[in-house]
Amino acid sequence: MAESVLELAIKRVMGWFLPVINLERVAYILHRITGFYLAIYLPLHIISTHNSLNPIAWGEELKLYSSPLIKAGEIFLIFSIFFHGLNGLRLLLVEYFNIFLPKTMPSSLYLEKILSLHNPQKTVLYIVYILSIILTILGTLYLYNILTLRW
Amino acid sequence: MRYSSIAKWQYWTAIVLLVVLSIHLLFRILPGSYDKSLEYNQVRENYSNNLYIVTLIVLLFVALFHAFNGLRVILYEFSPRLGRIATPVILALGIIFAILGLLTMAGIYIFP
Repeated sequence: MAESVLELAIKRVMGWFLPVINLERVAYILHRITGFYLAIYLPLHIISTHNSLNPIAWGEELKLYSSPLIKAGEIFLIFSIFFHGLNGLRLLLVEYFNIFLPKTMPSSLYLEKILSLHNPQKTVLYIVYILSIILTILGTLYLYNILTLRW
Repeated sequence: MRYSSIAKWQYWTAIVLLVVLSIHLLFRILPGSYDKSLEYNQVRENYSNNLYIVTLIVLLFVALFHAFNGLRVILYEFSPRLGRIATPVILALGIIFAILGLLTMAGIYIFP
């Protein structure tokens, strides 16, 4: 009995979000989250690089970087950089330079259809997701020294 | 300043960041591996490159503007009153971190 009540509650709560959860909305939310994360990272990065003035302080810094918690934070940082950068480039091209807009605007009366993206915008969004996932994987391999480069 | 012109600044700093941040990240992969790029001598050698120092100074100011203005925009969307109160605080923090970043670069550039 208790389970069914819980199930109903979960269904109700999910119902608020499900009709509007699509990849565009996820991109909007992710752009905010990654932007906030990068904005918090930047001052910390400026403070931590100040330690490069002193070899002993830099050694302490490197010990900190090898901890698993910082590594996990850096993996999300890699994703944030690539997703925020690529999605930001997409937004710039679509909103500021008006590239990738559909040739004719949709004439549907349904609000959801008007609000959601249309080709070629949709394809560009998929490319942003795929590229940022691939680059995050490559970046993570580089972070753990699995991937190294020889020039 | 009108809001729309600040929004344009956000777009133009984004374009600059795409270029400058790419160069900054390139300097992380040029040494060949993650651990190598963090070695003390490697880090200090990067700062002695004149062209890279110019890039870093541009990056410092543009990234701080873009990041802190972005935070301000989110606060304005929550409540305009909160945004108005936070603006001078965010501006002050931006100036403090810009000075700290410049001190780091100057320290290594003058005493390599």
